[in-house]
Amino acid sequence: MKNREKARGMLLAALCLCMSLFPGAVASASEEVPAFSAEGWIQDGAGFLTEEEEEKLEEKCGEILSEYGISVVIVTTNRFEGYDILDWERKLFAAQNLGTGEENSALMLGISMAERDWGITAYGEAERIFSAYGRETIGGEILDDLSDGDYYDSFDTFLNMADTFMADAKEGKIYSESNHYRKRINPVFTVVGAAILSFIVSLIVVFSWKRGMNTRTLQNNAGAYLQQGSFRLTNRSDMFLYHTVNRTRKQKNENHRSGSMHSSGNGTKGKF
Amino acid sequence: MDLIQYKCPCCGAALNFSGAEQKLACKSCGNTYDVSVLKEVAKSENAPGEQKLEWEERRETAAAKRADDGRYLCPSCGGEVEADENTASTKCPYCENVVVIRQTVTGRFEPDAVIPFQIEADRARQMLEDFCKGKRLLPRNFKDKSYLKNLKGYYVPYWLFDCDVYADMSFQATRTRMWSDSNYDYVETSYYLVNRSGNMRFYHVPVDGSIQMSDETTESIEPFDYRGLTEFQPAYLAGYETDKYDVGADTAKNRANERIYNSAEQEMAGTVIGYDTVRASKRSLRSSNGHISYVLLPVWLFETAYNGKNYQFAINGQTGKMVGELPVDKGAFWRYLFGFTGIGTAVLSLLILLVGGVL
Repeated sequence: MKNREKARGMLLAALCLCMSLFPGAVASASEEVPAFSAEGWIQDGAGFLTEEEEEKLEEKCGEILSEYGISVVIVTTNRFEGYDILDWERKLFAAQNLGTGEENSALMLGISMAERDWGITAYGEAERIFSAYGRETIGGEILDDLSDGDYYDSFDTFLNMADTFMADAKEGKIYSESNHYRKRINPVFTVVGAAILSFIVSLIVVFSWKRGMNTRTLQNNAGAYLQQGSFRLTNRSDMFLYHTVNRTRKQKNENHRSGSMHSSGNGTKGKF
Repeated sequence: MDLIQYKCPCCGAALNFSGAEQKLACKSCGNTYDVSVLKEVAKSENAPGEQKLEWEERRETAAAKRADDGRYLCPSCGGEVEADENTASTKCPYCENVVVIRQTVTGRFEPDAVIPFQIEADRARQMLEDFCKGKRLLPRNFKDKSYLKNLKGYYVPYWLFDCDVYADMSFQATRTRMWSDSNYDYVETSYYLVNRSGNMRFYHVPVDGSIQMSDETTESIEPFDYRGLTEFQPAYLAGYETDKYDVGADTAKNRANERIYNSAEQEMAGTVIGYDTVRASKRSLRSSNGHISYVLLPVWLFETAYNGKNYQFAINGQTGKMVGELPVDKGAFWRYLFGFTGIGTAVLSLLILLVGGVL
């Protein structure tokens, strides 16, 4: 984990560099770039997370960094100013020097509420581990939670999957179009789920046997004893009384969930 | 009270009614007799001149076969016959001959008609055995088939109700129309008052006249084919147990009314069509030309008690329809439930973990 002073120094250096390289964009971009949290790797500018949730995620980022030497960063913002999410992440990465190690390796998830954009970018060694296929796979996994507003869950899933991808890469297994990722199965959940399912099925089977032991039913009518042809309708009238009209405003479809993703260079983006 | 046994004109052995042949059969000499033939035999025995003697002889025999304390004695072997004031026919536990108690099938207790048994005892036993086969929750003592001994042929006293019903009903009905524009969804509900009047006739709605028989059982084995109703002759009771009714027509008609009125309401509601919802708001039902018949209908009955609860299983003695409730072994119920759960959990978990690459 980086310490506070080193981070502040890097942030200043990055901002200076940014101002010299992109003088036109600096005014707005610098406003958008969230202040680097010297406490860790979660920069929740949009305020999605509670302090406790942020701490948990920070801890996980730290574990990943110490295990694999790759930074994992999550940044969120409410104001976006029309930037492309991937460009915004890249600028942020450069401005804050978020990479680690010789290759300046990092994996970054950016969320912008301005246009409900998400983007994943990979740098250095992470770019090899998280190919376009890998980034899209992770994007697909977190999309539902993002759309539902379950931001902590989506960030947690992002970190877990990043951990898994890196662990497997360490053993030489890099996921790609030709080597698909498969979700890990939790044995405890599997056994509990199987037990619940088996119990329900067994209950249905045994209760159906029990039901078969009693075939008696009271007859509620005497329809079988209505003499054939004896029924005669002597009067029928149908009178309209009144009518009511209920009007309901249509629900506007505010669900921006989109399954489409685009990958280019070291980044993958989409909307949620 | 007279105890009657139908004896073979050939060998004198007791006769039983055979459902398969629809005749009285002698197990001793193998002869079979039409009920009408036996009636002729009885007529000739009761011919003038001999009537007095026969009558005296019967009285003498009846008196000899009946104990002073009111117990009923078998006219064949003299053994005590288990019977009460409702018993119309029963089987002697010693010689297994069937006796008919005349008083409970004469006078106001004389049935208007009877449907004789069509299903033979062997077939009924086989049907019960087949039904019990594969029933994994049956208590263990059902495995030795000794329960089949409890199956008995039983003429159940029934009341049959006939009547004309006049129904006058009102319904609240609605029709719904839905449409939308760019901003709103609209639902228009139109309300109607629907009136219907009509009449219909119900024929032979059955209600059992026996306290011993549960309504669930007797109503479940319906329907009987009333084309099989025939004039009552005590000879039909030979070989089967019979009780006279102990639920009167006045009590039974409440159940008949309930069923008849429900049906009348359903018939009327069936004419209210073209609506999305229909709810009866007023009903006026009247019956007329009511007629009640007292009949005996054939039922193979199996009764048992298990864990303090009585269970009744019945086979329609005419059509063979089987209904009833058999006891459930609670131990077996839980064993199967948890056994299947355990096996299912193991197999499913193994499969998922294997396919998921965990194992």
